[in-house]
Amino acid sequence: MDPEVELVNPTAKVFSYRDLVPRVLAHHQLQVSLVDGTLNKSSLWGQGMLDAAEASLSSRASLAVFRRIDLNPLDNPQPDLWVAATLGESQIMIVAAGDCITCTTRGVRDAVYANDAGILAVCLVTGAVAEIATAVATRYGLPDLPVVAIRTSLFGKSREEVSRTAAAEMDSLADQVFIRQ
Amino acid sequence: MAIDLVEYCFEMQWSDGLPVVPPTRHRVDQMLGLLLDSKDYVVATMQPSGARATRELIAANSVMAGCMSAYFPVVEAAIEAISDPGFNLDRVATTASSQVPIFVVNGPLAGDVGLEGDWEVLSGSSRASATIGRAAMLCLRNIASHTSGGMPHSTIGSPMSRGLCFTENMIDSPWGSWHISKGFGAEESWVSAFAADPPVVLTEMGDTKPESIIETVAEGIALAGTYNAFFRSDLWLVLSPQHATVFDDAGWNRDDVVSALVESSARNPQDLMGRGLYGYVDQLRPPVWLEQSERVTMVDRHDRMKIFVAGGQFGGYTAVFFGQGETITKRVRRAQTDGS
Repeated sequence: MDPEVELVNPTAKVFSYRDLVPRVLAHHQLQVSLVDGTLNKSSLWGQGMLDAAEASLSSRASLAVFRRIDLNPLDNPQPDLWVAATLGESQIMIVAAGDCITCTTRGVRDAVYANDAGILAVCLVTGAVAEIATAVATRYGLPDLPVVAIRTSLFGKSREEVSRTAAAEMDSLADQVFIRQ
Repeated sequence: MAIDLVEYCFEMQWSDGLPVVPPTRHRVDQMLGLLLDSKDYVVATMQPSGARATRELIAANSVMAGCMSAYFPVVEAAIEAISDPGFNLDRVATTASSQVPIFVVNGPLAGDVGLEGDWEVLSGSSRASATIGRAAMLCLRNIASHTSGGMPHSTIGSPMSRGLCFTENMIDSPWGSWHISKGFGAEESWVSAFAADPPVVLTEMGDTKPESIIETVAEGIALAGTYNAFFRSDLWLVLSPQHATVFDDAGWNRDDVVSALVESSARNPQDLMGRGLYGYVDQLRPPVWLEQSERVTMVDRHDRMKIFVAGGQFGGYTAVFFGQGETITKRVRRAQTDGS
């Protein structure tokens, strides 16, 4: 082609699509990591979301073992390091990312790293940023990353109120984690 | 019928909203020049996409920005700087705040490429200053997926989102170049990057005493609603030569100004509690520095405050760039005949 007309594509051909870790059977040996990646620790929004997730998942897998991981975005935790540290201790990872765009992007990134490590990962976000979460997941090559959107807004809500709000969406979470039997 | 290449670039969403120079093969090869044989060399990995920024990709975006080929080594160093893990590009590229990368170029290459540090220094009114920063921002958009396929992320955005690149006024500055004061090689050229909010430009014309300028600028720095008030990371100041000269005439150097501004802009912890980012993050559990300090400084170390001297010869102004994170400095590598 004429080099005066041929254009060089300035965009990165970023990656090939990643494979999504499949859903699992709700059996008793499951180990579930519940990750609070929210910025606002004092209002305990992330913990409220995770309370609802734990209640929902434990009702379907009664012997599952849950553990909480508290990440402080201010410390800039690197997912390649902390996800690797959970290997062998998690088959499922639920990442609560709050309703902050930065936290959501990081939560999605962390979930993608977990998925790459063979862990079934799901992001909990609010409706306000759910579209962003999916867009970011797509840019990471994982457009089907499970994202569960919780009704906004979280402002002014206590941990218990956030948990009650999140509970309304937890059937969706369970559907994205467990194979229907 | 001939294709309108400028319109095609818009359709492909390669543009930042302004028309771009179509990155034809011929122009991109010209941009690479001696580096053409190493066009696949990976300059950096850019987050959040994790994409590899090859020389060819950077060159294509530099063409679109309107750069001359002489600017390319500067753009390359700028991409290295913002891709450094210490810059935390994934946060910068996705933050809801208005911080975007800005650049200062120091050393002989700044003048060689036509960067001017005097009048309108922050206006981007010379070709070099307008296009080097723009090239870097187009790389963010098109390589690092800054906009994530059109996804907005900044609540208000920034008027600097099409790039800001400047140099110091080495003729009228009484202090010499910032990079030399920090120990970077005088004979080499350097690009420093910082994730900054749009500047607040403060004036102090009424008095020519250093203390008066310190008082006025410190009041402007001590705002509770900035990211600096919480993160206490880097902060850039651009002093006009007139302000810098007032300090120099009184025997003050850069470090003296930094010390005075850091101390004078410190706030009482009670004034910050529940305000700005403290209000969002730590209503119930304030961070350690808020609980244990009698005074909270807007940077947690003096060397986080960077002072540059730039702008026209007359006028008592100081521009304050709040922001978050570290300043990252990279050496500009001139292209060698072997393409390295």
